[in-house]
Amino acid sequence: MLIHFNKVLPYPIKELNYVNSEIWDKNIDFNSKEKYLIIAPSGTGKTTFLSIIYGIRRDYDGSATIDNKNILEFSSTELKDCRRNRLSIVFQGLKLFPELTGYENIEIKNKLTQYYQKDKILSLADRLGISLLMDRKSEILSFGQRQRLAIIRSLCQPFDFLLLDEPFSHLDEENAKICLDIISEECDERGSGFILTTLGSKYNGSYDNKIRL
Amino acid sequence: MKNNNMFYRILFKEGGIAQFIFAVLGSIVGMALLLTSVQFFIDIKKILNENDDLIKPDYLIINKKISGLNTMKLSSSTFTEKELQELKNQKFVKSISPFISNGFEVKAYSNPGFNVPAIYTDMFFESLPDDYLDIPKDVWHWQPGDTLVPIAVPRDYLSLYNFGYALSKGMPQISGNMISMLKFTLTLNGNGKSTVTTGQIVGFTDRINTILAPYSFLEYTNKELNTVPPAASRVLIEAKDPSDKSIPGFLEKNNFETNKEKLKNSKLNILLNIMMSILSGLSFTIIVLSFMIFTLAFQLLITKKSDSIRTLLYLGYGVNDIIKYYSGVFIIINLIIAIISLIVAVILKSQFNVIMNEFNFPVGNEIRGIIYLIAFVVTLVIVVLNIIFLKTKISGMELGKK
Repeated sequence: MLIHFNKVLPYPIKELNYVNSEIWDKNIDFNSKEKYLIIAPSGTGKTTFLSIIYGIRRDYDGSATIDNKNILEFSSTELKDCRRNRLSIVFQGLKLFPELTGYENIEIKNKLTQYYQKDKILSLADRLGISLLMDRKSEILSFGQRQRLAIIRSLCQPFDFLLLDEPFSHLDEENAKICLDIISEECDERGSGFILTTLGSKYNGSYDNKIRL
Repeated sequence: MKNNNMFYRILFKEGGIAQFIFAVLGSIVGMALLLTSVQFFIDIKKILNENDDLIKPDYLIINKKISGLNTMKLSSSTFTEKELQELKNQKFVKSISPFISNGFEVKAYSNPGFNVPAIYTDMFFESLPDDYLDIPKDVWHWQPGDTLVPIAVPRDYLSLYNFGYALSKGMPQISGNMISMLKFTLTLNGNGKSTVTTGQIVGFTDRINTILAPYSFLEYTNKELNTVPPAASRVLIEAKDPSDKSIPGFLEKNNFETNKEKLKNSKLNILLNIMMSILSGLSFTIIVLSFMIFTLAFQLLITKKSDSIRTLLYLGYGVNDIIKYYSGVFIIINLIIAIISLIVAVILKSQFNVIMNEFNFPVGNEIRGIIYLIAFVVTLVIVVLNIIFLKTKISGMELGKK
């Protein structure tokens, strides 16, 4: 998958100083064979950037394409297919269902794709130290615990790109490293890339590209 | 099952169930009322338009106004030959037929055996040629040698008996059907001759206050008993156009009166139309209001659950998956509303039949097909409207719109 940004400039960013940005109002490609770290201070449009790729935001000038097709022209079916098979995402706000338990939050995604067996999900939860929380409603979990749930959920599907919006913000260094390792493994397994946004920390990971937003 | 439970929790739980219950109750009330009023409207309309009278509605029956002069015998209430001729010559008259009556004496006795009191009464008969009466020939016939005389009485007589006499005397009330089963003995006397026969009430009339017997019976018996019937005091007129505006003036000028029942009937018809329109309008308003509440409750639910819906879309669920889930539930709820409303309407209809039958109005037991049609169409419209609304709203969410 090739994501191309051609002079994309979201309306809210216009009023800010974006001269130093390597993405806004520039031409830039993201190749799904590579791992990207997007470094951005708060307020420079991290979430907006990922939302544009994910087809959620439409308020910008320029054009963003996936494999030469304008994202804004994706049909309902194409969007659905994209979100099931080609792009996965960990939202900054996570978007878990508070009414569901930890496990159900993952299952609701996995039942669409049938990507993992139950024991694989449980072993991932075990590695991330949240296996004991799988039966609890997600609304009573801490944000850090929920971040790990959302990461597992995002892995329950095939994808070319995994979009991660500050996914480790509430994790300690050690847990963040474990998460990043799992994500890297999973991406390598799929031959996919990821785009990870961060306020600055690099989480001791190895990236093919570091881009300043 | 477990999956459905998951969706229930995400898409419905705490989404305003109380509003839904009220909306459903309101919808049932509105729908049941609408169905019932339409059903009543059709039933009552049918009764009003049905001519169950013995005298065809296009005929006018006129008589002279009774005044003090008649009582003092200074003026006659009967029509003279000259007057009849004059009537016949009027432009609006197609044909006339004076009523004939009995010149002989009639006494009626109720036969013992039935659960009715023994009644003895003096009676009189009047008659018109059979062609002017709207009563089946197989019950309304008499020829010399027949032992049974068919008789028609004003419906008021039955009411007088049932609601006045029987109640005050503690006697059983009788229905129109029951009275038709009764036979009573008639003795006819005139000029020293006497004959006995049997009478049976075969019909009721609302439009003329008299006791009718077949024309042939009166004609024959008058001749047989050698009695001279009094001159006619009532004349039936077959008008070319009963609504001819010159008729009232002519009647007024000649001091004649006509039966006003027809007029009253049409007034009643108009009043009933107005009342039923108001009732239908009201129930339609209730239906619109309750479905508005229903739709609002549904919109509230969607709005409350918009985050969940959006998340499902972001996870890769299709717009149609979510619409399918909501509309499935929505269709089930509306079907339940329609079915309960129909059941209520059927129950009310059977109650209505009981009341109508008590008053001797012929009401069919059948539920009108239109009722099902209305229930179906209203349900369909509501479901389709809400699914369209849902689709618009959820498609918007797919693109990240608030």
